[in-house]
Amino acid sequence: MDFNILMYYVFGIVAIAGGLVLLFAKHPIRGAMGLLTTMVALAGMYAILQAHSIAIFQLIIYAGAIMVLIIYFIMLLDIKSEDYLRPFSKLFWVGAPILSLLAIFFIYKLYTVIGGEQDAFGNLSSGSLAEESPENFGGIKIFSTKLLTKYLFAFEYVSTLLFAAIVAVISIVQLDWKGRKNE
Amino acid sequence: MSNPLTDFIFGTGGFFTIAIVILLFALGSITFIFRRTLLHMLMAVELMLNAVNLSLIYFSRLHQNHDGQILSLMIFVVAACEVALGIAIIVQLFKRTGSISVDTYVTERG
Repeated sequence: MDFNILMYYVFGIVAIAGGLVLLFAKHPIRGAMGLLTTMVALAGMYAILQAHSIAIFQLIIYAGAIMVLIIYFIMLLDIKSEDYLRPFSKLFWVGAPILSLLAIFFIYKLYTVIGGEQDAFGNLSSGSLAEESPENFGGIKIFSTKLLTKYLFAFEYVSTLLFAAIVAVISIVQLDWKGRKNE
Repeated sequence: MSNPLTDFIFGTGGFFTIAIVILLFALGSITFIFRRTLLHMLMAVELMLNAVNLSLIYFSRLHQNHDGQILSLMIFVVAACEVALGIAIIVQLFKRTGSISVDTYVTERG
């Protein structure tokens, strides 16, 4: 078996394991570690899928910035342990099996409809899909060229969203719980 | 002309990837619905966004098209905004009640 294919399977299973840790861990710091594992594993899957720039962004932005922010605030809050005595809702043992069965049913239908054949997903793809991937697909040069020409409006628009989020966060943390401004 | 990795991505790898996407999204939604802690709910939303990102990148590779990768970059930015706002709200709620359990806020109606 090709080494990339083997690592793809390993990364997928590790991602699922991280999600399970997030679901069942009692303390949020352990859940955050599971989520971090999932993100790093997904970065590996992106790299195997030739999205090299996105893999680097996943490591820098998600694992480097967002998860550090979450872990920092978990440590800052210093939450009492009584919050975790009953970590699940009462309906967990009813609802979680139903949702799991629904997910397994989706996977089963996917397998029976398109998953069984050798070139199943290749038949879905349009145009030159069965051809060999060009070497520079997903590279930073072609990616950034497309981002700054064809998708320039989306790029600027999302920067506006970031600015609005900064203003919103500042206005939230300035108010105390009665709605007045802190001194 | 074709290497084993391309055959894998066009064949069984597609099924494996979409199965991973479905399972991660289901885990995220179960965590969001049934965990009673605000921080877990915030992290569950992140997990669901990551699952959608994986499907976008897989189909971007399948169709040899960069649009999915650029859309996933936009999702990164939206996730960063969402975490910043969510953390700020959680900190304010914690300052107000001293707890991050959802059961604390059952009286907050209307």
